[in-house]
Amino acid sequence: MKRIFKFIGVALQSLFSNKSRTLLTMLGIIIGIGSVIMMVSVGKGAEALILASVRSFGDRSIFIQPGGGEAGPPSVTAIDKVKYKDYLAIKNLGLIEDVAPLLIYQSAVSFGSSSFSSRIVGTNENYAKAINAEVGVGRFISEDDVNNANKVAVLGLTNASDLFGDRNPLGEKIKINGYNYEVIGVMGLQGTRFFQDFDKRIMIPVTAMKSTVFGVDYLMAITGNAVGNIDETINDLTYFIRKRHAIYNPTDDPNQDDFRVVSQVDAAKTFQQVADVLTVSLVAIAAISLLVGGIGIMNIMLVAVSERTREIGLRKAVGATNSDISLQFLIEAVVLTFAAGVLGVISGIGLSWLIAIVLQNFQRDWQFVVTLDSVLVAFVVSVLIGLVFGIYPARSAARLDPIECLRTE
Amino acid sequence: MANKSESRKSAHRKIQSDERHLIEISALKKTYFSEGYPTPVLHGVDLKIKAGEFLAIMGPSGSGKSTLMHILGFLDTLSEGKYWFDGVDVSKLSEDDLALIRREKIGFVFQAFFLLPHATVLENVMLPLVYSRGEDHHRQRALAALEAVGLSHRVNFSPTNLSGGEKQRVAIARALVNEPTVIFADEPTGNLDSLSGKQVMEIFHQLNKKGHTIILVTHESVTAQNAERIVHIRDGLIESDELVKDRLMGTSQYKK
Repeated sequence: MKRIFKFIGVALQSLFSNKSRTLLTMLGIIIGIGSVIMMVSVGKGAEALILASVRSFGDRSIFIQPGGGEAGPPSVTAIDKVKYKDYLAIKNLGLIEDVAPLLIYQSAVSFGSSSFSSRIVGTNENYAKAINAEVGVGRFISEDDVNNANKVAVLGLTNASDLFGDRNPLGEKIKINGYNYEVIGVMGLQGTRFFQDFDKRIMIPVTAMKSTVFGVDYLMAITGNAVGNIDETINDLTYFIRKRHAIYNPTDDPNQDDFRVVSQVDAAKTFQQVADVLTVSLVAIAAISLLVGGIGIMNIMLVAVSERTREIGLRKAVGATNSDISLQFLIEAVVLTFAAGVLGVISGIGLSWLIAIVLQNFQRDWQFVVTLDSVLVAFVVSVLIGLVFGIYPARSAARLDPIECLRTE
Repeated sequence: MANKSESRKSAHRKIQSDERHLIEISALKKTYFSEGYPTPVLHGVDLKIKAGEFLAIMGPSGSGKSTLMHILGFLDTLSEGKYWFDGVDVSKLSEDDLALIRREKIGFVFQAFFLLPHATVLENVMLPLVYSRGEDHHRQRALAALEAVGLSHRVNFSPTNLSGGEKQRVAIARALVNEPTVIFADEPTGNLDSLSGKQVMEIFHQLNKKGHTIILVTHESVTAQNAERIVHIRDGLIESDELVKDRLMGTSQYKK
């Protein structure tokens, strides 16, 4: 052990004697370790965000969307498969409560001189409850508004401040796609859910949207909260809609359906899978850079061995055994990669923090996460790289003949 | 040729006595193999060296004097013959055993100094102690060795800022730091001006007086005159082995 400490001292001395080369050699490992730390941090941040999104909807939340299959967006041909009539039937079925239709489009919105494009959500009186959100000022869309197709609008918090600044928006008329709507309420702060900023949405009665804006008979989704067991509710709804859509699907093959019923937990799982695959592939790319960095270390260590042939000869002459020489060069490689690992971890954490700050501009709920696991793994990996790529140069140094070494000019 | 060789051997035997010897080699042969072809260098050398002797090995280049020194100094192994060191047969030792003997019993001084340029004078002197197992007081021992060669005032210098003579004195301090039984000096004055050379030889005299066995390899007869006995080697055999009559006894105190 004492011998190892002595050799660490020797290694630091020789690494410091050639600072710029040492730093350049370490660069590959620094970048590799830094990237791994950063990728894992981003992955963990995404995971935290997904879990927060699930919690924000509530765990009884159920979505009925057009398009069959397990995951992914509906195909273009399936986009109109969930009908407004389906919503009316499900609303009266009693399997889910707080049933709300969702018809979402991007549209021009203006008030006075200010105008911008926003997401317009056509829905009903249950929407706020269905998505677990509350009205900040004024009121939400009422059943009457929906029945009479009243041209009223509830603004997301960001939209309200963009359009009205400090003014009270209640009672004002805004133009959506050319039609006047009266502002009846402003939602409280909702934040980002599943990568969508809910504070930049404007809610209007779905009936008003259908008649004035788009005139379509289909919906983007139907949402609500399960009354009973979630899995049973999903099953019952699936059979109910198959029957309505006249789909014969005895094998329960989701690809044969033209709709799908999912819970938030399912959605979260899907997002989680995507995030996991992304993290693994990014970490794999970073691992390749570690491999390249390791080869760089081996290369430079071999150069060091041939440059320091006389030193090796001298060390042998004063009593170093082959294993002393081998250990010394191995420790030098490990000290090099471990130092690079430390710098890599520091730069990785720094980058993750910067990324978190940037992402928080788009995703308010994004969290800066660096796990102790990833840091420990980074240290272990950096030491292993030193051992693996240092062993060959170390052994070739140990094999040198002292007399030949001392003869070299 | 055979007669000449016989007469060389008999002349050589006169000097050998029955006292216990620190170094004793008999019929030592060394053959190098290069790409399978043998190149014999030493053809059967007999030599005895007493503890505390100051011996010079002389010979033209290619005579085998360096090879002999390498074998005597445990840097190389012999092909045939016997080598007893301090009464122990060391003819067939492993590389690690040889390293252990070098570490504990041998000090080397080379013509080209071989100092580590990025380490200080003190760190250079401490180099052999990196490999000694156990034992502390490394710093004190190195400082004592530097004092013995008159370089206490250069402890934290970089070797690159020293004169040639000072560099060689650092190398001697490094050879001393393990308190070796034998110090091998391979052309120690070869890269030095005559004054520095004298100072270095003076240090060897001092060390010899303190009981260190000194084995000097040189091709300069003036340098060899510092030794009490000169062994001449030619073509891999001992040509002569004589006591020095007009020995140079370094008297001038080396300058600090």
